[in-house]
Amino acid sequence: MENGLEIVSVLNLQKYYTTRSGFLGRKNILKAVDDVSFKIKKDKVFALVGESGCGKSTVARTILLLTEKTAGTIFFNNRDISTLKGKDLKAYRRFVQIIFQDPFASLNPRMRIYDTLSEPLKVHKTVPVKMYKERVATLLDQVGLNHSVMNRYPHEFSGGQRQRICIARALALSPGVIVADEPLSSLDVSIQAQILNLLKELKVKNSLSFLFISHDLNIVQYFSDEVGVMYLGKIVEQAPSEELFSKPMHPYTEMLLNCIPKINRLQNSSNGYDDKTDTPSPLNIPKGCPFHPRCPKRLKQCELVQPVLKEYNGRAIACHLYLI
Amino acid sequence: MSFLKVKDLSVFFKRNTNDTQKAFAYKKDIQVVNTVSFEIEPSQIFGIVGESGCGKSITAYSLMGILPNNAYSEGEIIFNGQNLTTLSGEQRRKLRGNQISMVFQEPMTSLNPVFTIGYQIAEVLMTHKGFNKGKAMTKAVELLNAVKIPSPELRVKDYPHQLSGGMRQRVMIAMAIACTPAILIADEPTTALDVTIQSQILKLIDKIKKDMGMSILLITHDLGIVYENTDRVCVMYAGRFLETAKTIELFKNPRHPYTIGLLKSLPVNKNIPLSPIPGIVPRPDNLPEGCKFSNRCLFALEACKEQEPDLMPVSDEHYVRCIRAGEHLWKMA
Ligand SMILES: Nc1ncnc2c1ncn2[C@@H]1O[C@H](COP(=O)(O)OP(=O)(O)OP(=O)(O)O)[C@@H](O)[C@H]1O
Ligand SMILES: Nc1ncnc2c1ncn2[C@@H]1O[C@H](COP(=O)(O)OP(=O)(O)O)[C@@H](O)[C@H]1O
Ligand code: SF4
Ligand SMILES: [Mg+2]
Ligand SMILES: [Mg+2]
Repeated sequence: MENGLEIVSVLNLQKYYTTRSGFLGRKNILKAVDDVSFKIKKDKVFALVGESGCGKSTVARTILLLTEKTAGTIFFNNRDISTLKGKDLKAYRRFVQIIFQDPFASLNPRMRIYDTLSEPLKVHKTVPVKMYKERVATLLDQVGLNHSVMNRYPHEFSGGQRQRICIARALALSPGVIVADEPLSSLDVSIQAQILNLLKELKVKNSLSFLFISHDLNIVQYFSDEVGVMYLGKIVEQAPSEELFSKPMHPYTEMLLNCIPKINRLQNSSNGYDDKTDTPSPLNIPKGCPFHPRCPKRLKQCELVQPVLKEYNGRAIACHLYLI
Repeated sequence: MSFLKVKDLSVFFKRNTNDTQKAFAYKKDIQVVNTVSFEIEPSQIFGIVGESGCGKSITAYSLMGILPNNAYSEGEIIFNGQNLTTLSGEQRRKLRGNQISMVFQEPMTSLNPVFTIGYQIAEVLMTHKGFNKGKAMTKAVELLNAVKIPSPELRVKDYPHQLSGGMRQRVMIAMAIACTPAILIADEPTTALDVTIQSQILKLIDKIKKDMGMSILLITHDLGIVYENTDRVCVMYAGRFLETAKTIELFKNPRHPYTIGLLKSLPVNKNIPLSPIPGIVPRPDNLPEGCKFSNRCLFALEACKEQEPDLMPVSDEHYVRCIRAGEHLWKMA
């Protein structure tokens, strides 16, 4: 696979939840993330895609230390982050920042923009107090907002402007990695394009790497360098983004790409996929290949044996079609 | 023959008259839909596409007769030769769910959590068609089958929370088509769903159109959905139609700078940079003078800021509200 210096790497990550169901409160194990490995490389965008509930945000939350993992290792500059303490742990938290889906919910309505943006500076003491104003002004410049917005409150801004403020907050501590969980999905089409251009520009100027989560595959194709396709907690195909989108190999990837409504300005297109099944619940993962009940190409062994993720032509695929 | 004809529909929200802030009390009501006209023929899917707040849902609510209490409409909604806006509340209630029905964006909030889905479908038939419970439940199973819910005879007994989002939306569609309405309004029916489930629902809507000859109004913000699923489309902005055409024509020959801007905002290929529309979507009480798009338009002239252009034909059945509509701006963008 593409080389490049890895900054954060995730190895065999697992996150299981224990839930209770029914009147008897029988215990169930929900495998939200099961044996996921990938690398976020310097100046690159690694994207996670897949249907709702497949575990994308859970991966993001474990990397951000917002959720405790069940098993697996996360490396930061080749050090296991669970061994980091004190100053080193703080440095990691500073280095990895988040942008959420909902810019309305993620800003405190009672805090002026200046306070929101200077708070991380206070907590991490990265710049002297007398420099706060200058730093906040620089951050606003970077996201294309006027300095005068400093003294205003979140409700005075539109969705796109709020997302710019959230991006400025994520940049406050000069991070190296941005975890962006559906950063565009609450925005209008014309505003999405503005924010996407901004992220692209910041990526180059601030030399940022991204973990990018989006259900909009057109956006993923545009922004990412490498993609992991998740299904029921596992990565089923991982490949450089150009290759994945020009030639999806796992039948699930193929199904996802086929379902994107496409604009073909010259001829009538139609999608020939005929899938009538729903996404299975992560509480009741099918035996064999977890995708087999929906798979139009399934073989006999797909119902019995779970395919492992294996290297195939420079990508990783978990599918019996490619294990022969 | 045309089934639904909307003529110069406008919708206003009343300003709060006992507003303590006196400054607002004398201001005019806010207009959120502005003289919109269109027709939907049988077996046709008519699309309305636009960004949030442009007036799509409010247009749909006026067709259904379910505008909020603080809103009122002007203009005509003609259905089977009758102007619906002159009917009484009771007469409109009889049409709703029977002749004209609607599927909403959020399938969970529109189903009642305490009744089985079978009962909720049956209730529509008991109310409008006078079916007894037994007959209505049998028909409910048939409808669940028609919307492709597996094992419908078992699923009728399920409660909404036992279904996935996609299945709930299919139940909503089953309820909406239960009385074989002439018109089905689908307001962002797949926005809350995964692409895979979205594709199933859109295919289902297309099948219903073909099988039942229904007129369908499909509201969406997704141009891809418009391209793949509609026969005719209009692009809405600030309560107005800015461009309307046959779908294929609109994508081949986009004429309005807003339509062009939306198309240029979509990522297609890594090597083609995005050219987003500048600025933000305006609020209905804060629209610019003249052309309502002029403050964001890359092609605006001085004249654009003075007078609002009319919706004018540029070719057969293709109408554009822009003084530069004849210039093939797409090639310059
Ligand atoms: N705190 C929790 N307790 C129990 N189960 C949880 C918890 N958080 C998440 N899950 C479950 O873990 C699975 C993965 O959830 P996650 O939020 O990672 O999905 P996602 O891929 O981000 O989906 P979406 O696209 O809808 O955001 C889901 O089945 C979810 O219900
Ligand atoms: N109950 C209401 N009271 C006042 N204004 C409303 C109400 N509902 C909608 N509006 C306003 O009407 C405009 C059109 O809304 P809507 O039709 O819901 O937009 P869309 O469906 O295109 O996103 C918006 O500016 C919205 O703020
Ligand atoms: S009328 Fe003028 S401002 Fe309005 S869309 Fe056309 S060119 Fe732009
Ligand atoms: Mg998520
Ligand atoms: Mg709406």
